[in-house]
Amino acid sequence: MAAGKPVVMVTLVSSDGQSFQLLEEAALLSAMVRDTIQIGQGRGPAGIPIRNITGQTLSMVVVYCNKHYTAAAAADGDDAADEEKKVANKKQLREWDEQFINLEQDKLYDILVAANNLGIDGLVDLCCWRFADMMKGKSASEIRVKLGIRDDFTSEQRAQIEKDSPWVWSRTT
Amino acid sequence: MRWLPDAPHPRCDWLGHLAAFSFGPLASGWVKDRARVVLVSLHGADPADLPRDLLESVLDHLPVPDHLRFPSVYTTWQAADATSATACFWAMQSPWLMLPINPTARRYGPIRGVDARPLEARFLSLSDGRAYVIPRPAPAVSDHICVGSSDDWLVTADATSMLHLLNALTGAQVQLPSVTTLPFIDASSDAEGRVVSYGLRVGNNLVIRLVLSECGQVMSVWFGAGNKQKIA
Repeated sequence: MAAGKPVVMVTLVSSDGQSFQLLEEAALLSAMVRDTIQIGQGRGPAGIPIRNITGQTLSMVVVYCNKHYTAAAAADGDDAADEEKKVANKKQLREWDEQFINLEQDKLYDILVAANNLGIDGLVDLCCWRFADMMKGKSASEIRVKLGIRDDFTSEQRAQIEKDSPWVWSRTT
Repeated sequence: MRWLPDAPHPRCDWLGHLAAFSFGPLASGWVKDRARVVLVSLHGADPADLPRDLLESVLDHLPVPDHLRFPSVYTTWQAADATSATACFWAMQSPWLMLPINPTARRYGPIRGVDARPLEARFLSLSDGRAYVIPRPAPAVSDHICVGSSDDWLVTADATSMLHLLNALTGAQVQLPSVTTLPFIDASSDAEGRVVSYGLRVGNNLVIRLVLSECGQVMSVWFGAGNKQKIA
Protein backbone atom coordinates (compact mmCIF):
# COMPACT_ATOMS: atom_id res chain seq x y z
CA MET A 1 0.00 0.00 0.00
CA ALA A 2 1.46 3.33 -1.04
CA ALA A 3 2.20 5.76 1.82
CA GLY A 4 -0.29 8.55 2.21
CA LYS A 5 -2.97 6.75 0.28
CA PRO A 6 -6.36 7.48 1.85
CA VAL A 7 -7.88 4.54 3.67
CA VAL A 8 -11.26 3.76 2.11
CA MET A 9 -13.57 1.40 3.91
CA VAL A 10 -16.62 -0.34 2.50
CA THR A 11 -19.47 -1.93 4.37
CA LEU A 12 -20.97 -5.26 3.37
CA VAL A 13 -24.43 -6.00 4.74
CA SER A 14 -25.49 -9.63 5.08
CA SER A 15 -28.98 -10.96 4.33
CA ASP A 16 -29.77 -10.96 8.07
CA GLY A 17 -28.71 -7.33 8.45
CA GLN A 18 -25.21 -7.70 9.96
CA SER A 19 -22.67 -5.11 8.78
CA PHE A 20 -19.01 -5.80 8.13
CA GLN A 21 -16.52 -3.03 7.51
CA LEU A 22 -13.35 -3.81 5.62
CA LEU A 23 -10.76 -2.05 3.52
CA GLU A 24 -12.04 -1.40 0.03
CA GLU A 25 -8.92 -3.00 -1.40
CA ALA A 26 -9.65 -6.19 0.54
CA ALA A 27 -13.28 -6.17 -0.60
CA LEU A 28 -12.13 -5.77 -4.21
CA LEU A 29 -11.14 -9.44 -4.18
CA SER A 30 -14.84 -9.92 -4.91
CA ALA A 31 -15.79 -9.39 -8.56
CA MET A 32 -19.29 -8.46 -7.44
CA VAL A 33 -17.98 -5.71 -5.11
CA ARG A 34 -15.51 -4.57 -7.79
CA ASP A 35 -18.28 -4.16 -10.38
CA THR A 36 -20.55 -2.42 -7.86
CA ILE A 37 -17.85 0.13 -6.99
CA GLN A 38 -16.87 0.58 -10.64
CA ILE A 39 -20.33 1.88 -11.47
CA GLY A 40 -20.07 4.33 -8.58
CA GLN A 41 -22.20 2.60 -6.00
CA GLY A 42 -21.62 0.94 -2.65
CA ARG A 43 -19.41 3.58 -1.06
CA GLY A 44 -22.30 5.23 0.79
CA PRO A 45 -23.16 4.65 4.45
CA ALA A 46 -25.77 2.06 3.48
CA GLY A 47 -22.99 -0.20 2.22
CA ILE A 48 -23.41 -3.04 -0.24
CA PRO A 49 -26.27 -5.42 0.45
CA ILE A 50 -25.20 -9.03 -0.01
CA ARG A 51 -28.26 -11.12 -0.66
CA ASN A 52 -28.52 -14.82 0.18
CA ILE A 53 -25.48 -14.72 2.47
CA THR A 54 -25.92 -14.75 6.23
CA GLY A 55 -23.75 -12.83 8.67
CA GLN A 56 -22.10 -16.01 9.95
CA THR A 57 -20.91 -16.95 6.45
CA LEU A 58 -20.07 -13.40 5.42
CA SER A 59 -17.88 -12.97 8.51
CA MET A 60 -15.74 -15.92 7.33
CA VAL A 61 -15.53 -14.46 3.82
CA VAL A 62 -14.40 -11.12 5.27
CA VAL A 63 -11.67 -12.88 7.30
CA TYR A 64 -10.45 -14.55 4.07
CA CYS A 65 -10.43 -11.26 2.13
CA ASN A 66 -8.57 -9.42 4.91
CA LYS A 67 -5.93 -12.14 5.18
CA HIS A 68 -5.33 -12.32 1.43
CA TYR A 69 -5.25 -8.56 1.04
CA THR A 70 -2.73 -8.25 3.89
CA ALA A 71 -0.58 -11.03 2.42
CA ALA A 72 -0.63 -9.43 -1.05
CA ALA A 73 0.21 -5.98 0.38
CA ALA A 74 3.11 -7.46 2.38
CA ALA A 75 4.38 -9.25 -0.73
CA ASP A 76 4.31 -5.96 -2.68
CA GLY A 77 6.49 -4.35 -0.01
CA ASP A 78 9.04 -7.17 -0.04
CA ASP A 79 12.31 -7.06 -1.88
CA ALA A 80 11.41 -8.36 -5.32
CA ALA A 81 14.69 -10.25 -5.57
CA ASP A 82 14.14 -12.29 -2.42
CA GLU A 83 12.65 -15.37 -4.06
CA GLU A 84 13.18 -17.55 -1.01
CA LYS A 85 11.10 -15.27 1.16
CA LYS A 86 8.35 -15.12 -1.44
CA VAL A 87 8.14 -18.89 -1.60
CA ALA A 88 8.07 -19.10 2.21
CA ASN A 89 5.29 -16.50 2.41
CA LYS A 90 3.29 -18.30 -0.24
CA LYS A 91 3.66 -21.55 1.65
CA GLN A 92 2.62 -19.86 4.88
CA LEU A 93 -0.49 -18.41 3.21
CA ARG A 94 -1.40 -21.81 1.80
CA GLU A 95 -1.07 -23.34 5.28
CA TRP A 96 -3.33 -20.59 6.62
CA ASP A 97 -5.83 -21.29 3.82
CA GLU A 98 -5.93 -25.00 4.56
CA GLN A 99 -6.45 -24.37 8.27
CA PHE A 100 -9.11 -21.73 7.53
CA ILE A 101 -11.11 -24.04 5.27
CA ASN A 102 -10.90 -27.07 7.57
CA LEU A 103 -14.61 -26.78 8.33
CA GLU A 104 -17.68 -28.93 8.67
CA GLN A 105 -19.25 -29.51 5.28
CA ASP A 106 -22.38 -27.43 5.98
CA LYS A 107 -20.25 -24.34 6.64
CA LEU A 108 -17.97 -25.23 3.74
CA TYR A 109 -20.97 -25.47 1.43
CA ASP A 110 -22.28 -22.06 2.59
CA ILE A 111 -18.88 -20.45 2.05
CA LEU A 112 -18.51 -22.03 -1.39
CA VAL A 113 -21.91 -20.76 -2.52
CA ALA A 114 -21.15 -17.33 -1.00
CA ALA A 115 -17.72 -17.11 -2.65
CA ASN A 116 -19.27 -18.08 -5.96
CA ASN A 117 -22.00 -15.46 -5.52
CA LEU A 118 -19.43 -12.79 -4.70
CA GLY A 119 -17.03 -13.88 -7.44
CA ILE A 120 -14.02 -14.55 -5.20
CA ASP A 121 -12.15 -17.04 -7.38
CA GLY A 122 -9.43 -17.87 -4.86
CA LEU A 123 -11.97 -18.82 -2.20
CA VAL A 124 -14.09 -20.83 -4.67
CA ASP A 125 -10.98 -22.75 -5.64
CA LEU A 126 -10.02 -23.32 -2.01
CA CYS A 127 -13.50 -24.66 -1.14
CA CYS A 128 -13.47 -26.95 -4.18
CA TRP A 129 -10.03 -28.19 -3.17
CA ARG A 130 -11.37 -28.96 0.32
CA PHE A 131 -14.38 -30.85 -1.06
CA ALA A 132 -12.05 -32.82 -3.33
CA ASP A 133 -9.78 -33.51 -0.36
CA MET A 134 -12.75 -34.96 1.53
CA MET A 135 -13.38 -37.36 -1.37
CA LYS A 136 -9.83 -38.44 -2.15
CA GLY A 137 -9.07 -42.15 -1.86
CA LYS A 138 -12.66 -43.04 -0.97
CA SER A 139 -15.05 -45.38 -2.71
CA ALA A 140 -18.36 -44.06 -4.02
CA SER A 141 -20.23 -45.39 -0.98
CA GLU A 142 -17.64 -43.94 1.42
CA ILE A 143 -18.03 -40.53 -0.27
CA ARG A 144 -21.79 -40.78 0.12
CA VAL A 145 -21.42 -41.48 3.85
CA LYS A 146 -18.83 -38.72 4.32
CA LEU A 147 -20.87 -36.06 2.53
CA GLY A 148 -24.29 -37.34 3.59
CA ILE A 149 -25.43 -38.01 0.03
CA ARG A 150 -28.20 -40.51 -0.56
CA ASP A 151 -27.64 -43.25 -3.12
CA ASP A 152 -30.10 -42.26 -5.84
CA PHE A 153 -29.12 -44.84 -8.46
CA THR A 154 -31.71 -47.42 -9.40
CA SER A 155 -30.52 -51.01 -9.52
CA GLU A 156 -30.72 -50.81 -13.34
CA GLN A 157 -28.49 -47.72 -13.38
CA ARG A 158 -26.04 -49.39 -11.04
CA ALA A 159 -25.88 -52.43 -13.29
CA GLN A 160 -25.34 -50.12 -16.27
CA ILE A 161 -22.40 -48.39 -14.54
CA GLU A 162 -20.79 -51.75 -13.89
CA LYS A 163 -21.39 -52.73 -17.51
CA ASP A 164 -20.14 -49.43 -18.95
CA SER A 165 -17.09 -49.24 -16.72
CA PRO A 166 -15.41 -52.61 -16.86
CA TRP A 167 -12.15 -50.72 -16.57
CA VAL A 168 -12.45 -50.59 -12.81
CA TRP A 169 -9.53 -49.41 -10.75
CA SER A 170 -8.76 -51.05 -7.49
CA ARG A 171 -6.07 -50.23 -4.99
CA THR A 172 -3.50 -52.91 -4.38
CA THR A 173 -1.22 -51.29 -1.85
CA MET B 1 -24.47 -9.03 -19.83
CA ARG B 2 -24.53 -5.98 -17.64
CA TRP B 3 -25.89 -6.70 -14.22
CA LEU B 4 -27.24 -4.57 -11.45
CA PRO B 5 -25.07 -3.67 -8.46
CA ASP B 6 -27.31 -5.41 -5.97
CA ALA B 7 -27.61 -8.53 -8.08
CA PRO B 8 -25.63 -11.65 -7.29
CA HIS B 9 -22.51 -12.30 -9.31
CA PRO B 10 -23.50 -13.66 -12.73
CA ARG B 11 -21.66 -16.94 -12.17
CA CYS B 12 -24.28 -17.82 -9.59
CA ASP B 13 -27.33 -15.99 -10.76
CA TRP B 14 -30.48 -17.15 -9.02
CA LEU B 15 -34.24 -17.04 -9.58
CA GLY B 16 -34.58 -13.29 -10.02
CA HIS B 17 -32.60 -13.48 -13.23
CA LEU B 18 -34.01 -16.59 -14.81
CA ALA B 19 -35.88 -14.53 -17.38
CA ALA B 20 -32.70 -12.81 -18.48
CA PHE B 21 -31.10 -16.14 -19.32
CA SER B 22 -34.14 -17.92 -20.69
CA PHE B 23 -33.39 -16.89 -24.26
CA GLY B 24 -29.89 -18.33 -24.16
CA PRO B 25 -29.31 -21.40 -26.27
CA LEU B 26 -28.06 -23.42 -23.31
CA ALA B 27 -30.35 -21.80 -20.81
CA SER B 28 -32.99 -24.38 -20.08
CA GLY B 29 -30.86 -27.08 -18.43
CA TRP B 30 -28.57 -24.54 -16.85
CA VAL B 31 -31.41 -22.51 -15.38
CA LYS B 32 -33.14 -25.63 -14.12
CA ASP B 33 -29.97 -26.64 -12.31
CA ARG B 34 -29.60 -23.21 -10.77
CA ALA B 35 -33.24 -23.10 -9.69
CA ARG B 36 -32.85 -26.47 -8.02
CA VAL B 37 -29.73 -25.31 -6.22
CA VAL B 38 -31.55 -22.28 -4.84
CA LEU B 39 -34.31 -24.48 -3.50
CA VAL B 40 -31.79 -26.85 -1.96
CA SER B 41 -29.83 -24.03 -0.40
CA LEU B 42 -33.00 -22.70 1.18
CA HIS B 43 -33.76 -26.05 2.78
CA GLY B 44 -30.30 -27.07 3.89
CA ALA B 45 -26.82 -27.49 2.51
CA ASP B 46 -26.28 -30.50 0.31
CA PRO B 47 -22.95 -30.75 -1.47
CA ALA B 48 -24.49 -33.30 -3.81
CA ASP B 49 -26.50 -30.49 -5.39
CA LEU B 50 -23.70 -28.06 -6.11
CA PRO B 51 -24.00 -26.21 -9.40
CA ARG B 52 -22.36 -27.96 -12.29
CA ASP B 53 -19.51 -25.47 -12.73
CA LEU B 54 -18.56 -25.89 -9.07
CA LEU B 55 -18.72 -29.68 -9.32
CA GLU B 56 -16.34 -29.41 -12.26
CA SER B 57 -13.99 -27.28 -10.16
CA VAL B 58 -14.06 -30.01 -7.51
CA LEU B 59 -13.28 -32.56 -10.24
CA ASP B 60 -10.24 -30.54 -11.24
CA HIS B 61 -8.72 -31.17 -7.84
CA LEU B 62 -9.23 -34.93 -7.83
CA PRO B 63 -6.48 -37.38 -8.77
CA VAL B 64 -7.30 -39.69 -11.67
CA PRO B 65 -8.64 -42.71 -9.72
CA ASP B 66 -10.98 -40.50 -7.67
CA HIS B 67 -12.02 -38.68 -10.82
CA LEU B 68 -13.09 -42.01 -12.32
CA ARG B 69 -15.14 -42.88 -9.24
CA PHE B 70 -16.83 -39.47 -9.11
CA PRO B 71 -19.75 -40.16 -11.50
CA SER B 72 -20.76 -43.30 -9.61
CA VAL B 73 -21.50 -41.37 -6.41
CA TYR B 74 -24.63 -39.46 -7.41
CA THR B 75 -26.72 -39.25 -10.56
CA THR B 76 -26.24 -35.49 -11.05
CA TRP B 77 -22.49 -35.99 -10.84
CA GLN B 78 -22.58 -38.23 -13.90
CA ALA B 79 -23.77 -35.26 -15.93
CA ALA B 80 -21.10 -32.97 -14.46
CA ASP B 81 -18.44 -35.47 -15.38
CA ALA B 82 -19.84 -36.05 -18.86
CA THR B 83 -20.02 -32.35 -19.67
CA SER B 84 -16.78 -31.42 -17.96
CA ALA B 85 -14.61 -29.38 -20.24
CA THR B 86 -11.66 -30.23 -18.08
CA ALA B 87 -10.74 -33.60 -19.48
CA CYS B 88 -7.40 -32.15 -20.55
CA PHE B 89 -6.43 -31.70 -16.90
CA TRP B 90 -5.27 -35.32 -16.85
CA ALA B 91 -2.32 -34.31 -18.92
CA MET B 92 -1.27 -31.94 -16.14
CA GLN B 93 -1.19 -34.59 -13.44
CA SER B 94 2.04 -36.27 -12.52
CA PRO B 95 2.77 -39.26 -14.73
CA TRP B 96 2.16 -42.85 -13.70
CA LEU B 97 4.81 -45.50 -13.95
CA MET B 98 3.74 -48.70 -15.66
CA LEU B 99 4.95 -51.63 -13.60
CA PRO B 100 6.28 -54.75 -15.27
CA ILE B 101 3.83 -57.61 -15.62
CA ASN B 102 4.29 -59.86 -12.62
CA PRO B 103 4.83 -63.40 -13.93
CA THR B 104 3.76 -64.89 -10.59
CA ALA B 105 0.51 -62.93 -10.43
CA ARG B 106 -2.37 -65.17 -9.47
CA ARG B 107 -4.98 -63.47 -11.64
CA TYR B 108 -5.14 -65.47 -14.81
CA GLY B 109 -7.56 -65.35 -17.66
CA PRO B 110 -9.48 -68.28 -19.05
CA ILE B 111 -7.14 -71.22 -18.83
CA ARG B 112 -5.75 -71.97 -22.24
CA GLY B 113 -3.14 -74.44 -21.20
CA VAL B 114 0.32 -72.94 -20.95
CA ASP B 115 -0.85 -69.74 -22.65
CA ALA B 116 -2.74 -68.50 -19.59
CA ARG B 117 -1.49 -64.99 -18.80
CA PRO B 118 -2.25 -62.45 -16.11
CA LEU B 119 -5.04 -60.13 -17.26
CA GLU B 120 -4.02 -56.98 -15.55
CA ALA B 121 -1.73 -54.03 -15.98
CA ARG B 122 -0.33 -52.27 -12.94
CA PHE B 123 0.60 -48.64 -12.49
CA LEU B 124 2.30 -46.66 -9.75
CA SER B 125 0.83 -43.24 -9.09
CA LEU B 126 3.60 -40.91 -7.99
CA SER B 127 1.21 -38.30 -6.59
CA ASP B 128 -0.33 -40.58 -3.97
CA GLY B 129 2.36 -43.26 -3.87
CA ARG B 130 -0.02 -46.12 -4.58
CA ALA B 131 -0.19 -48.87 -7.14
CA TYR B 132 -3.35 -49.32 -9.19
CA VAL B 133 -4.47 -52.31 -11.15
CA ILE B 134 -6.32 -52.25 -14.45
CA PRO B 135 -8.08 -55.57 -14.67
CA ARG B 136 -9.57 -57.02 -17.82
CA PRO B 137 -8.01 -54.90 -20.55
CA ALA B 138 -9.40 -56.30 -23.76
CA PRO B 139 -7.80 -57.48 -25.92
CA ALA B 140 -5.34 -58.54 -23.26
CA VAL B 141 -2.25 -56.39 -23.20
CA SER B 142 -0.22 -58.72 -21.04
CA ASP B 143 1.43 -60.28 -24.07
CA HIS B 144 2.22 -56.87 -25.50
CA ILE B 145 5.42 -54.98 -24.97
CA CYS B 146 5.06 -51.32 -24.04
CA VAL B 147 7.27 -49.39 -26.45
CA GLY B 148 6.39 -45.81 -25.61
CA SER B 149 3.79 -43.36 -24.38
CA SER B 150 2.29 -39.95 -25.02
CA ASP B 151 -0.21 -38.28 -22.69
CA ASP B 152 -2.88 -40.88 -21.88
CA TRP B 153 -1.75 -43.27 -24.60
CA LEU B 154 0.60 -46.19 -24.32
CA VAL B 155 2.09 -47.61 -27.50
CA THR B 156 2.23 -51.39 -27.30
CA ALA B 157 3.59 -53.98 -29.69
CA ASP B 158 2.22 -57.49 -29.92
CA ALA B 159 4.05 -60.68 -30.77
CA THR B 160 3.97 -59.90 -34.51
CA SER B 161 5.17 -56.30 -33.95
CA MET B 162 1.74 -54.89 -34.69
CA LEU B 163 1.49 -51.56 -32.90
CA HIS B 164 -1.49 -50.61 -30.77
CA LEU B 165 -2.41 -47.55 -28.78
CA LEU B 166 -3.88 -48.20 -25.35
CA ASN B 167 -5.62 -45.50 -23.36
CA ALA B 168 -4.90 -46.47 -19.80
CA LEU B 169 -7.79 -44.42 -18.43
CA THR B 170 -10.63 -45.53 -20.67
CA GLY B 171 -9.38 -48.90 -21.85
CA ALA B 172 -9.72 -47.79 -25.46
CA GLN B 173 -7.37 -49.53 -27.84
CA VAL B 174 -6.55 -48.43 -31.35
CA GLN B 175 -4.75 -50.70 -33.73
CA LEU B 176 -2.27 -48.79 -35.80
CA PRO B 177 -1.79 -49.72 -39.44
CA SER B 178 0.60 -52.56 -40.00
CA VAL B 179 4.19 -51.45 -40.34
CA THR B 180 4.18 -53.16 -43.73
CA THR B 181 2.01 -50.29 -45.03
CA LEU B 182 5.20 -48.25 -44.86
CA PRO B 183 6.90 -48.52 -48.23
CA PHE B 184 10.32 -49.15 -46.76
CA ILE B 185 9.35 -52.17 -44.64
CA ASP B 186 8.84 -55.67 -46.00
CA ALA B 187 7.43 -58.57 -44.03
CA SER B 188 8.53 -62.17 -44.40
CA SER B 189 5.82 -64.69 -43.66
CA ASP B 190 5.94 -68.39 -42.97
CA ALA B 191 3.86 -71.00 -44.78
CA GLU B 192 0.81 -70.25 -42.60
CA GLY B 193 0.95 -66.55 -43.35
CA ARG B 194 2.31 -65.50 -39.95
CA VAL B 195 4.88 -62.75 -39.98
CA VAL B 196 8.23 -64.07 -38.88
CA SER B 197 10.47 -61.12 -39.63
CA TYR B 198 10.63 -57.65 -41.13
CA GLY B 199 13.11 -56.15 -43.51
CA LEU B 200 13.91 -52.44 -43.45
CA ARG B 201 14.97 -50.54 -46.54
CA VAL B 202 16.63 -47.40 -45.23
CA GLY B 203 16.00 -44.30 -47.32
CA ASN B 204 17.00 -40.68 -46.99
CA ASN B 205 15.29 -37.99 -44.93
CA LEU B 206 12.68 -40.36 -43.57
CA VAL B 207 10.29 -38.85 -41.05
CA ILE B 208 7.54 -40.60 -39.14
CA ARG B 209 5.21 -38.54 -36.98
CA LEU B 210 2.33 -39.46 -34.73
CA VAL B 211 0.12 -36.40 -34.41
CA LEU B 212 -1.89 -36.14 -31.20
CA SER B 213 -4.52 -33.56 -30.32
CA GLU B 214 -4.32 -31.55 -27.10
CA CYS B 215 -6.34 -34.16 -25.23
CA GLY B 216 -4.18 -37.00 -26.45
CA GLN B 217 -6.53 -38.13 -29.20
CA VAL B 218 -4.73 -39.63 -32.15
CA MET B 219 -5.23 -37.32 -35.08
CA SER B 220 -3.11 -38.88 -37.74
CA VAL B 221 0.03 -40.80 -38.51
CA TRP B 222 2.34 -39.32 -41.09
CA PHE B 223 5.38 -40.56 -42.79
CA GLY B 224 7.41 -38.81 -45.35
CA ALA B 225 10.42 -39.28 -47.56
CA GLY B 226 10.42 -36.04 -49.43
CA ASN B 227 6.65 -35.77 -49.87
CA LYS B 228 4.26 -36.18 -46.93
CA GLN B 229 1.61 -38.87 -46.95
CA LYS B 230 -1.10 -39.50 -44.37
CA ILE B 231 -1.67 -43.14 -43.55
CA ALA B 232 -4.17 -43.00 -40.70
